[in-house]
Amino acid sequence: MMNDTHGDTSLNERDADFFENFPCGIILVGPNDIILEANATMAEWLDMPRTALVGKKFSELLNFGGRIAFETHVRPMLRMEGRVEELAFDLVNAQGDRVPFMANTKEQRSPNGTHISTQIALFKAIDRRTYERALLDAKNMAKSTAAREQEIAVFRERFIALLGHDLRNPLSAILSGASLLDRLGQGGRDDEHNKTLVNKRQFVVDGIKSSANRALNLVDDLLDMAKGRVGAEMEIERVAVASLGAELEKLVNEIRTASPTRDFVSNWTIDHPVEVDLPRLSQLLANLLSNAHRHGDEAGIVTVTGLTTQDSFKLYVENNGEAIPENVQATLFEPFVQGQGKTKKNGLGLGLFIVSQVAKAHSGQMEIQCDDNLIRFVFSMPRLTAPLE
Amino acid sequence: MLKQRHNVNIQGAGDRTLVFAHGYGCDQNMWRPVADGLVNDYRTVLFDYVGFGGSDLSAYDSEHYANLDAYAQDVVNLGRELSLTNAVFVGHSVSSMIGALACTAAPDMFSDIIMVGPSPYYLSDDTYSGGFTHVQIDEMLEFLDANHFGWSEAMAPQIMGNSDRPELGQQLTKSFCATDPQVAQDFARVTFLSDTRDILPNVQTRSLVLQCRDDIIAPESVGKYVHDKLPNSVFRLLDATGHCPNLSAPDEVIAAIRDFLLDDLAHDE
Repeated sequence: MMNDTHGDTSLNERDADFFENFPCGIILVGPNDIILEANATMAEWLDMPRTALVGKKFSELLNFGGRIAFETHVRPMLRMEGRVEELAFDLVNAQGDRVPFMANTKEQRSPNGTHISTQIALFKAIDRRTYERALLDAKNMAKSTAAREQEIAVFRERFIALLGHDLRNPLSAILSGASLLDRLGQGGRDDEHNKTLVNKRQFVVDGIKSSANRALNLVDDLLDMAKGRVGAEMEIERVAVASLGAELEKLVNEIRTASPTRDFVSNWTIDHPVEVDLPRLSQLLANLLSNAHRHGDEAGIVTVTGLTTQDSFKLYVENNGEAIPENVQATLFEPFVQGQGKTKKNGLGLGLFIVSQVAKAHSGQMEIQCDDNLIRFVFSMPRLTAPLE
Repeated sequence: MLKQRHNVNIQGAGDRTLVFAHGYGCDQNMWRPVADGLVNDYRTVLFDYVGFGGSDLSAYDSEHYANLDAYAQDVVNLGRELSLTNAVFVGHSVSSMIGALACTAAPDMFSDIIMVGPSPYYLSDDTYSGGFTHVQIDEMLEFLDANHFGWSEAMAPQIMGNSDRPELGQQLTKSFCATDPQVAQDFARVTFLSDTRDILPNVQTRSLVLQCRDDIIAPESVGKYVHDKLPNSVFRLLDATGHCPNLSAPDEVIAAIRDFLLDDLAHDE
């Protein structure tokens, strides 16, 4: 009795204070979505007078996305289960800013189950919700990173398996060439025999060189992979190249030397500066030329054309050959896809994949055109990194 | 087998079968008040789409369920297992369009389709106004990200699929809106970004469009559009407000369904 301090205030007065100033927002909503009651705490949190709150539609306090979620989830749950707890959502205050809340809601029903009103108790939760959002962002980030890592891991696994498999062939060829040389011995019985021996030896040495070159190409692919240039997004550095035509012609000449049986014709009409990553672009062209050489008709020529327009740089590589079926075209730039049919297997099926990666890194694109026994690979990219002012 | 996968519940024993398909949001319980009111005269089939309610959650695959056709195919497959012919499809919200797709894929399965709050496209273009913008859909996804409605990681498929301990699954079923957040996100995207306007003229099935007042998800103009494009449809505006008359005004929905189906009989005779 000594500690009873309630004696001075009546029960009603206390209730009124409880309702108005209790440290939680209270909203009572009718079945037609109209706010019937709201306490002073709620009005203060939303920065609007209580009179502005009462009579308003509750859904008008929500942003549109919140309204959809309320309509599709919260209202059905209230009807079915009578209450929904620990809801997190934003309300829009008088200034139109979003204020984060946590809320418990309950449906008040008549004895026959009719919906009388919806009671909502709200707590302002700026820090809590910010924290939760950060957690959620971190979780989503971790998830997408993991998915990406997984993708790269799978890619690399396939790459290594294929590489191991493909390296065996040239290495076995080199080994058997070496043992053949061993058996051929140093000299012969007479000049005629020596001459035959020299020819045979030269044939084996050529074979060893070509196999070693193949192995070297595969190792180059491996190095690219190790440097993260394959399978992940390719990083490039675009700079203006002064005489791009001459630079690319050098590359074509190297390929001419390496494939003396094939005719390569080149035309350069590069009248404007082009910003490229030259080593990467050279790789793109080398792969396209090698592709044309390997898959084109053996007697046909390979034509390469480079030109600039006002905005773009284009490279065309053409060879004679049967049209590529559309379903094959669709997969041609995917990794590990090997040319079909008679052509001999050479490399990891990464050539055109790398082409597409270089193209993408230059914000450019690849296109395949087939007509009249002519296959044309077209690379086009914006000439400059930023458009001219 | 599909009966379990879709948590199928069959009641009543009328000559005609009514298949109730839940919309975006919760599960088959959305139809419970309406179906309960019709069991004396019809055979009612309630089911959950894979990923929702009491369905087999382990059968869910994000890539497979990336479009409404996959859901329609499930309806057709389920209908075949139940040997349905001349049945009535009753779809809420997005299920109206899933039903329309199912009707074009298997024209003999359903003689009537009832669409509650249908919308063939929620976004807008030059000649059509669906009522939504991309930003609003993102806001809703954000809301769903922050609210899992009783879903917890413990309800992941490996536990739910534990057939040795069925009580575990029951125990964990807290709320009929509890959905794996990934499934909820996927279905929201499929629902709100699909455009099925093109198929409406191909739906020869006798159709009823039930439209609510003040429905922000499927406004009246959209319901009228659906009615206009369907070759064989009746439009009925309910007094009910909001998007879920099956919960807020089941009696009115029941009456509308009865009228429509009895009217069908009158025409046949």
